[in-house]
Amino acid sequence: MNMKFVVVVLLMLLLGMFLGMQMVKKNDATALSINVAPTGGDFVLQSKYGEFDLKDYRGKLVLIYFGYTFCPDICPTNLSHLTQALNELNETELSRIQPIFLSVDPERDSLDHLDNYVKYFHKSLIGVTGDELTIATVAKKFGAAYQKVTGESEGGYLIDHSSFTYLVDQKGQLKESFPHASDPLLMVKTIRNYLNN
Amino acid sequence: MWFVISNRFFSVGLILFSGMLTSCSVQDDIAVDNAWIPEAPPSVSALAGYLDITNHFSNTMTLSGAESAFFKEVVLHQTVVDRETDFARMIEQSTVTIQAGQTLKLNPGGYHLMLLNPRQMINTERLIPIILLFENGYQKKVEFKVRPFRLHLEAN
Ligand SMILES: [Cu+2]
Repeated sequence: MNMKFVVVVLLMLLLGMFLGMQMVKKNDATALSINVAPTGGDFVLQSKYGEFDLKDYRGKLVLIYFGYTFCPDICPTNLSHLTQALNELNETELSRIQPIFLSVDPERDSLDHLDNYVKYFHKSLIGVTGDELTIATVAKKFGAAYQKVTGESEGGYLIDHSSFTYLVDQKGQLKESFPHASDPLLMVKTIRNYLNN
Repeated sequence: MWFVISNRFFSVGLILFSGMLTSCSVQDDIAVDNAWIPEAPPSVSALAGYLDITNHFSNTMTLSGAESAFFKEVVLHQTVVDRETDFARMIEQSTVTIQAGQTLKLNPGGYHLMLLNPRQMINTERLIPIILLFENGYQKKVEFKVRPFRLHLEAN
C-alpha cells in the first residue's frame, strides 16, 4: 500500500519534470518568434550623418528594413526591390519619403561601411545601427526577429532575420509590413496611397 | 623530307585528338547557364553566386562544394523564408543532389554559393571563375558575370 503510494508520487514527479522541460523548450521558441501585433514606435539610432531620431521624420513616410551587410542573398534582394520601388517615384514624392536600412550587426557594420553599402542601392537610403540593447528594443517594437548563428564556415557568424520592409506613416505609426521580395509596383501603389492621404 | 612527313602526321594526329576532346565535352556533362554574381560595394565581405546547373550524366550527381581563387571560402547555402513569419534563415548545405536530366537552380531567396572574403576586386569588368566540386570527384569550372541586381529583377 505504502509502496504503491511512493511509486505514484515518483511517477507524478517525473511527469511534472517532463512537462516542466517541455514548457522551458516552448518558452525558448516563443522568445524567438515574432510579435503578432507589433506597434512600432520611436527610436534613436546612429548613422554616418549623426543621430537618427525617428521623431525628426514626422510628416515623412519612413520605410525600414532590418538586415546586415554580411547578408548576400536576402538583404540585397529586398533592398533591390525597395530600390526598384523608389526608382518609380518622382523627386517630389521621394522628398517625402525616408528609407532606412537598420543593421542588426553593429559589431561588423561600421557607420561608414553601412553608408557605403546602402548608397549602392539608392541615394536616399540611410544606414543606421546602434548598441545591441537599443537594436533589440527597436526590433521588438516592430516585431522584427533576428538571431545570430555561428556557422561551420570560417567566414564568421550569420544572422537569421525577419525580412519585412516596414512602412511608418507621417504620424510615426507603423502601418504596413511588406514581406520578402514584394512586388516593387505593389509597394509603389501602397506608398502613393499613404503619400496622398 | 622525312622531317616534313612526320610533321604532317603529327598535325593530323593533333587534329584527330582535339576532335576527340571536343566530342567528349559535348556529350555527357554538367551544363551551366546564367552564372552571375550581384554587384556589391567593394567593402562587402560576403557575396552570392547564382546559376543553373543541369545534369546531363545518366546518374545522379551530388554537388558537394565549390572553390575559387577569388574568395577565401565558398560555401553552399540555402535561404529558407518562413511564409508566415517572413523569418529568413541561411542554412549551410554540405551537399545538394541533382538527378539525371534535372536542373538545379541557384536563385536569390533559394540556393546560392556564399562567396566569402574576396581576395580580388569583384566588378562588372571581369569574369569570376569558380570551380564546382562534385562528390565523385568531377569538377566544373564556371565563369560568373558580375552584374547589378536590378538587371535580374528586370529580367523577371
Ligand atoms: Cu548565404
